[in-house]
Amino acid sequence: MQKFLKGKGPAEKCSINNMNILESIKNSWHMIIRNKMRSFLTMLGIIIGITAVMIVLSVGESVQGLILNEVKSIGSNLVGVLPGYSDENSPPSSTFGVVITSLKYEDGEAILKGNYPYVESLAMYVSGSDIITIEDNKVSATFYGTTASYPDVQNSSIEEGRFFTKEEEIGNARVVVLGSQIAKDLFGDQDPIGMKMKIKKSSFTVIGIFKKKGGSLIQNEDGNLFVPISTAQNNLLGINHISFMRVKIDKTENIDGAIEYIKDTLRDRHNIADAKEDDFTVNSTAQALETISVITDALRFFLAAIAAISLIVGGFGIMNIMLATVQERTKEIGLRKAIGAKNTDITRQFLIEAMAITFISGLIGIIIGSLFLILISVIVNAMNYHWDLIISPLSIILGCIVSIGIGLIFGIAPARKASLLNPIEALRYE
Amino acid sequence: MLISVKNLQKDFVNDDVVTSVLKGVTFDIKKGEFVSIMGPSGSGKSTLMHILSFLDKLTGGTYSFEDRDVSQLNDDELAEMRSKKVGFIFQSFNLLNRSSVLENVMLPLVYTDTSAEERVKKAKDLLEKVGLSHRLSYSPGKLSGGEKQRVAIARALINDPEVIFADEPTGNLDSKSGAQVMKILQDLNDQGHTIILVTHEKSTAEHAERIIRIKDGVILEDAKVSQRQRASGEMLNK
Repeated sequence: MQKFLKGKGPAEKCSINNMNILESIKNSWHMIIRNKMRSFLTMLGIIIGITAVMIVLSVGESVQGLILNEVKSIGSNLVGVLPGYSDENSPPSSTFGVVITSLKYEDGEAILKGNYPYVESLAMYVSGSDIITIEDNKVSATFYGTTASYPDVQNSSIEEGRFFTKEEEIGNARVVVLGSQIAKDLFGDQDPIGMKMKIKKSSFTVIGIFKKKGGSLIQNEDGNLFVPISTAQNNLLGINHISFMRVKIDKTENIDGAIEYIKDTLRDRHNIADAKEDDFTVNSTAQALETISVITDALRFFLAAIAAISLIVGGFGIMNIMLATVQERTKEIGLRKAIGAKNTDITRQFLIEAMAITFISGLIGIIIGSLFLILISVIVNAMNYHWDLIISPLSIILGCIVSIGIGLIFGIAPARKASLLNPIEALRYE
Repeated sequence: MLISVKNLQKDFVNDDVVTSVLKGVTFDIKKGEFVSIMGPSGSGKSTLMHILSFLDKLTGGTYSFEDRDVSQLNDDELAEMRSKKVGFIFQSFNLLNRSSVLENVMLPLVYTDTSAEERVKKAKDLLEKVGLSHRLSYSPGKLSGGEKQRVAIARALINDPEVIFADEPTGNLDSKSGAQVMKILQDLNDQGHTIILVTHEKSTAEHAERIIRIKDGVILEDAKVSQRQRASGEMLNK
């Protein structure tokens, strides 16, 4: 440092500094190029770590956007009722495919009959997958048995034909309404209204087609079939429970009150005295979507752990390669000392080299991370979900800082070792 | 006096075993002298050179350089002395193969206050002096031994040192290249540079004006060369 203080002017100091840094960066570049495989393996930890940092920081924002979009498309004034108990933090087990039969069609009817002022409408659902036959064509598809109130609750509108009526809903009618995509897949350019098709072995008449709606995490209407709930229960599934119901509340402010009303009604019907004994779960769409954040948060935590571990392992890799470099360049260090380098000059040179390597690794990580984010966005959007491609500037800045910081931390020991070499022995080293 | 050494001692301690390599050496070297330090291997001549060139510290006696007590200098000050006062020429050249000839010559200036333009200018001038201005961008690995040593000489000169230390400079060279290098050293001496040559070969040592013969850590003889060898070869460009 002394020589900087003795420098002739600020410009002079600057040029010396730049020369040293440039020379060190050039040295590290030579080192990377000279032994590509070794360099790649050394840099891998940092590259993976920074890639993970990029994804962790950027995916979070995209997931928030996805959830907001979902809430917007479904409506934030929906309350879902699922069979089975759940506590605050996790969804009920029915979400994971466990069949619970505690919820019945009559429960829904009771909620409606209570004449709670803010309940506008209510739809009930059962679902299954089976073989659809049209003439000789067989395909597999998901069908929903639901109530006549479905279009109102789900904010869906009919493109062509009509939805089924209350009478059809309760009367085992053999009618089916198609999602826009499946209508196209099954019938192509033909007009499906009035056509016959078989679900399982029962024959149905197509009476309507939905408008195209786009993908949603909760339900993909475009690709499904809709039949009256009684038909689905009795003819297709042979069950007498329902899978879930959705209740439409007039205003978002009234949701909390409505949830309490629904809970009270169901406890009354199921003879439940203590809330801990509940055999159902009531929550708003917004709450249901929160569980998605819980899952993505877990994923982000996992990625963050990978990032931390790779960065630490990568740091030791850098330390290792820098120690090897110091060994290889012992003679050079001796020479540099002989021609006037101070210990601090040598320390600085090797620190800058270590930081240059980790910085280059960091840049590669940022590029790979960005490519990953672009890939995720392309895939998710191709699956018809809403996904904003966000490469957060914070993650790029942080990636740079972290990678340089790792070079600094793990470069200290090798740099110090280099600076303390005895110049005479270093010059003799072969 | 440029260099003044009195009763200089150097001990090496290894696992509690003390080895005396220099056992009290006394001599002066004036500015502009060409001195050979000659002795067989193990005589202590290299250790003496290391101390004189600020690479190593003495354990006894005194060493003053330009009337400064060198034993009082700390590591950074010694580094500064190496940077400003001495230039080195090694038997094995010690050039950095991944840097160009020009960059090798400029290397000592990295540790000084010298602007980038000045570094290039000085290095080019010196390379011209040693007849290598056509090799600026070469890697040292592509040069002959004699050319490598001339690059090293240019590097040694770049800081305008008071003393040039040449440690067996012809040891890795054929006789023709060796003669060329000795010729350059003599020319430099004629131009006023102080040169201290370390060698075990009498014929090489005799290129100097004065030979300090050393054996087992003591001076056997310190005398003017009666029949000084004059190296033939191409003249150094002035």
